[in-house]
Amino acid sequence: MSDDTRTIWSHCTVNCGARCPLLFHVRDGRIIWVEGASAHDGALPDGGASPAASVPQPRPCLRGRTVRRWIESPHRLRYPQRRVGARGEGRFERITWDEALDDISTRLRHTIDTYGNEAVYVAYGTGVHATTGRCFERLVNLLGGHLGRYNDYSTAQIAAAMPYTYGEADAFTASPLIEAASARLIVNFGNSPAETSMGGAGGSRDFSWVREVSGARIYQVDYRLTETCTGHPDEWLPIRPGTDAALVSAIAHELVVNDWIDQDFLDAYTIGFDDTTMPMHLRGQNLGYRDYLLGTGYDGMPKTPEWAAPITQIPAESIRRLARDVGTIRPLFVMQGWGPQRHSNGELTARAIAMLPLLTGQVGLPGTSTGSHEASSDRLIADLPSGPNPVKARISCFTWTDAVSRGTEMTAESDGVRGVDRLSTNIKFIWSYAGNCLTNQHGGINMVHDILVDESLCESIIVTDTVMTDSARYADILLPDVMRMEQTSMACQGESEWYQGVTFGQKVVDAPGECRTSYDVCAALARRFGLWQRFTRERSQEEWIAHLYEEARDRDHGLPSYEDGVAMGHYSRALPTTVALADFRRDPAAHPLSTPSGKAEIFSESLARKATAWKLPEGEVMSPLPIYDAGFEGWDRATDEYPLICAGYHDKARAHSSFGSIESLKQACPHRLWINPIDAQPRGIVSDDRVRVSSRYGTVEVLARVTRRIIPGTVGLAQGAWHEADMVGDRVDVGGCINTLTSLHPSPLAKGNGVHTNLVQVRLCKR
Amino acid sequence: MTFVPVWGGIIACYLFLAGLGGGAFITASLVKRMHPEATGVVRVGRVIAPIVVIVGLCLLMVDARGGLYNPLRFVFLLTNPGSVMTWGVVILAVFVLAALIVLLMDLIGKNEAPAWLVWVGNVFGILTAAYTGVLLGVVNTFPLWNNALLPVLFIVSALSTGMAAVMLGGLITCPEQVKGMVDLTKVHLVLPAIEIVLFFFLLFIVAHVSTAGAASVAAMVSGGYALAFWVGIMAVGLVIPLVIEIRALRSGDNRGLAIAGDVGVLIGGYLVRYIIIVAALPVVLL
Amino acid sequence: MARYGMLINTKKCIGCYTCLVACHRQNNLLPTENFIRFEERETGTYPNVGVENIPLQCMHCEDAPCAAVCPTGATYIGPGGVVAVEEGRCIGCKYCMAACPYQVRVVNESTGTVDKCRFCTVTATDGTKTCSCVEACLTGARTFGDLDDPESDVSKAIVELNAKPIAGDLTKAKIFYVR
Repeated sequence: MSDDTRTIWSHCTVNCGARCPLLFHVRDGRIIWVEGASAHDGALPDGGASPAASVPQPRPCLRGRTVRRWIESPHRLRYPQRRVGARGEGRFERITWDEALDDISTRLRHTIDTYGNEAVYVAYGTGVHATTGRCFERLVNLLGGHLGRYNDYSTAQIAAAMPYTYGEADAFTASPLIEAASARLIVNFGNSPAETSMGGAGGSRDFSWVREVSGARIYQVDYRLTETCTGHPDEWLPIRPGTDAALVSAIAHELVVNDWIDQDFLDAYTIGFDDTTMPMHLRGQNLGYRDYLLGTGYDGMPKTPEWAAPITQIPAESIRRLARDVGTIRPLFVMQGWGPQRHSNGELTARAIAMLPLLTGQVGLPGTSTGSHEASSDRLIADLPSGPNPVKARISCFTWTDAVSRGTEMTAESDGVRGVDRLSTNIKFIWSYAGNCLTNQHGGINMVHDILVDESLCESIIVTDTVMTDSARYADILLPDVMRMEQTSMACQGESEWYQGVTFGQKVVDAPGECRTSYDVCAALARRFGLWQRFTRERSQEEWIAHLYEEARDRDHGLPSYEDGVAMGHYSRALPTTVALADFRRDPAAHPLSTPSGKAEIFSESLARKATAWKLPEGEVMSPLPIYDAGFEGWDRATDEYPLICAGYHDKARAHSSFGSIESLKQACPHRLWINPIDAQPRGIVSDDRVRVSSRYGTVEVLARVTRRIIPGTVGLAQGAWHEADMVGDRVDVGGCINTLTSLHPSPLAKGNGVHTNLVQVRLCKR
Repeated sequence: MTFVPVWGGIIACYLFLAGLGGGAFITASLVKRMHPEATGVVRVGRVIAPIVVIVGLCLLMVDARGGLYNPLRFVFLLTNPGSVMTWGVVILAVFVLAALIVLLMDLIGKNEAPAWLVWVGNVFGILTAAYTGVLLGVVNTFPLWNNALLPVLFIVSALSTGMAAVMLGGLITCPEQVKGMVDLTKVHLVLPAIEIVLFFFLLFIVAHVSTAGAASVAAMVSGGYALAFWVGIMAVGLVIPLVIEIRALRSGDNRGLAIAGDVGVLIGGYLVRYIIIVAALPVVLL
Repeated sequence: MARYGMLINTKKCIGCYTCLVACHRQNNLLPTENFIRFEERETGTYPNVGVENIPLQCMHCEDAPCAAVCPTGATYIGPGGVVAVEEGRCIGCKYCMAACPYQVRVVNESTGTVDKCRFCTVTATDGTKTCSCVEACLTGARTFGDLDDPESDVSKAIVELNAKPIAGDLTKAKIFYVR
């Protein structure tokens, strides 16, 4: 290595869950290469050969290692631009920063004065995770607030449903993955850390370590044979997507009839399994879960393996084998990814999966979890405070298109509006920062397009990004962002690793053109509103970072000094494993759950009340019990026109749509539709044929990958590919974005995106 | 993985020309012994022999880009006596040298080239043809190459193409000399017949010993190379020339047909090398 | 003298290609120049499907066919048993590519020479303790070390996991696979 090469730390910013530190080698103001934290930098202990979960190993994956291609992309936005021509057409002209900021502040002032603060919406976006990654909320809260949102695109249904089982405080409570090392049986529903969160110390590495040290029997219930079980294909239990609750019901049926349930646990820690623990006034009406399973409940249908087999496509004997294992092997560790719940029936599925640990009493003990997604560790440093939002109204983030087109019709009962009974205005101003959720990562792209191009609906769309995304095409004002590697930036470990860490990112290279940091942009806007003092507290971004760090250090004396941290670049520490709900299990009276009953609620009375009060469209089901229902537009509605199910998954080459434009990654991992030979053969499709996938909502064109790794009757299309269609022409998306195929119909309870529930047809394009 | 052939048309051409050169030199020697009066035909053979081998060597250097960009590296070619390619370099060098001296003496016309030198040329001509087969034959990755029949096939094909080239040259420059060579026509007839038999055994055996071999043979006889194999090699390169020669034996010479037959042999000879290079699939070890 | 080798545990490999990207970086390779080649194998019929990700790279064979056929001696077996390429001798005849049973040698499109995995650590001068592919591997599927040292991580892992070269005794390969 020559002497004029410097090494500078920064971090990956995207939303795979992890936030890997990156070490940049820089010469003459240019990045030579990127690598990760490794033993020889002294940043990490040398754990290369003998992986142990106790040694943090936040190694970046191929995406983080390829970030130079993004930073140096010839398609970087360099100057502020204003839309010319119709919205969505993608034609822009260069303007000065003053023109841009004046225009934005005029639009913002006009929106607030004319429609009120509720008309201002800050779009969901996860392209930047850093302590100073979200600045606009702070500014707009000082201006009177903005329409709030709840949910995200990842976890809407589980976030809405789990509180009815475990209580609001424990909606996401679970044991970390490494706790599964003490388990003898691991049942994993739709969860593939090897794809969703490849990088970092956790996820794939932890899972691989658990498999090695525990010797546990593992079931991977998934519609695809994922990379998490390559090398271990015997673990795969293929299931039709969206039918996990039917599988759980049949397992539960077997647990009951074979007396493998832990009745003492159910009596002491849960309510609603049977009349013993049913609320007094609901007893004797066969409303309990036991009645549902045995066919004495509302539908009179015993949930036998034979009942579940045609629904799940899992043979009855396989279900019995799994049920025997679940009933007899201890400890049992059950977890779910976020794929199973991202369906039109996802709320039911999320709660149903949690029934396995509850029925077997495998909660709060070593080697167990809650049936939820594996835990992620607490972050050490707080984000830039947004301040209180004076606007109380909140919508589910998936319903912002409704709030643009018919916001004033949206109520609590019909659309899940929170904070107020009804919205007072439609959304008129959208701020989208480092996100691609206007179109690409939202859903129903063709329908969203029609809403956005109508300038009488949403009057102003301001987008800030580094490259021209599909969402950015709809901007009225388009601002060029500075990558986090081009500014001082701090990030904690992500959501998937069981360790704690801080990366003290420094400026690696200069940003191109006239790019400005979002902090500076918001500060400049604040100055136009006379709020500069209150927005900045007279701190630069660097000073805020140091300030937030010192605040954290006041709470946590284990952290190194800021100066030492900057010198080290990356600080990390291992965490001991924990057991979810251990206190509750030890002493339920002293440590009750935050449910109304203080216990785990198999039957939720509050959900029963909501099911009656809410106005649900025909075909939507909300139930106090974690029953199985196919959901609207579910697999049982398949027709000759749309006979196949199409579900999404996370791709190796992208984190959502981030990195989706990097050519070398596209070549390494070509974007292809997974299809089983059983479905491909009658359609005359072989691998690498170009095929058209059509749903009621749109058509994509993509290459096929004929593989036995996917269940027949279902095709799989990785999410996050960049939408590429002639929107004034045939609208056929040759980029292969799955959201061209998805619907805008929100799920019943969460009002979230059930975008894995799609019915499609696949046809061979002419060779 | 879809296997991308290591070599392509350029190396096929090199192997073809090397064999052809050796074959042409031997043909010239044969003609000189059997028909000493046909000096024009002999000269054609002696001109062709060194020139095509030199062209072939140039093609090899074009394909070997590492050497092309740094020509001094070709000096290292003699440093690994264990490599068949090193032997090849020696064989080709000796052959080209011998053939050039024989040609020069022939052209100057003062002295006849000494017999021992012609014999050196003949022996190294055979070795040149054999070398092109052994080069591929020692590579045990590809069952289509890794067998003892391939060098034999290449030698027969080399003699056949060499003879066709000399006859073709003769038919163009001194057709009257070619007319009386019925005995050579018989040799010329036998070679394609032997080639067809060798080819049949090669494919039959290769197809039966391994999956990769079977896949290679399938690619040739029924896959992507079937057209080139059946039309190019079998029809144009072997059967049609055979028919033309038989016809010539029965009903006398036809210059046009004879030229067509010889051109066919040359096309077929090239395609034999090309297809054997590109259709060979490696043994799958996983 | 050490005799270097590697263990690759395909039961841990998730086919993420991070090693490939790290190798490109370490060895400053062209985008088309992949020292590591991934074979994804699917076997069986649905639902009894077998899947295996197998990263292949130079096996640093003791009986290296590439070195045997190289006419210029550019490929040779160097210190530590590492099969090495001296670029300054390579004419790019590609005979070694044909001879390699594993198809892990690649042409450098800019120089026309043939190259392959170098066991980069062995000659590294930047303080690297282990090969970049080993260091980058997200799941710890790779182990590198001295095969002659019975106490090395790689020697112990080979015994413990019963790892074998991909093609048995053919060429006496020094990359051992757990499958």
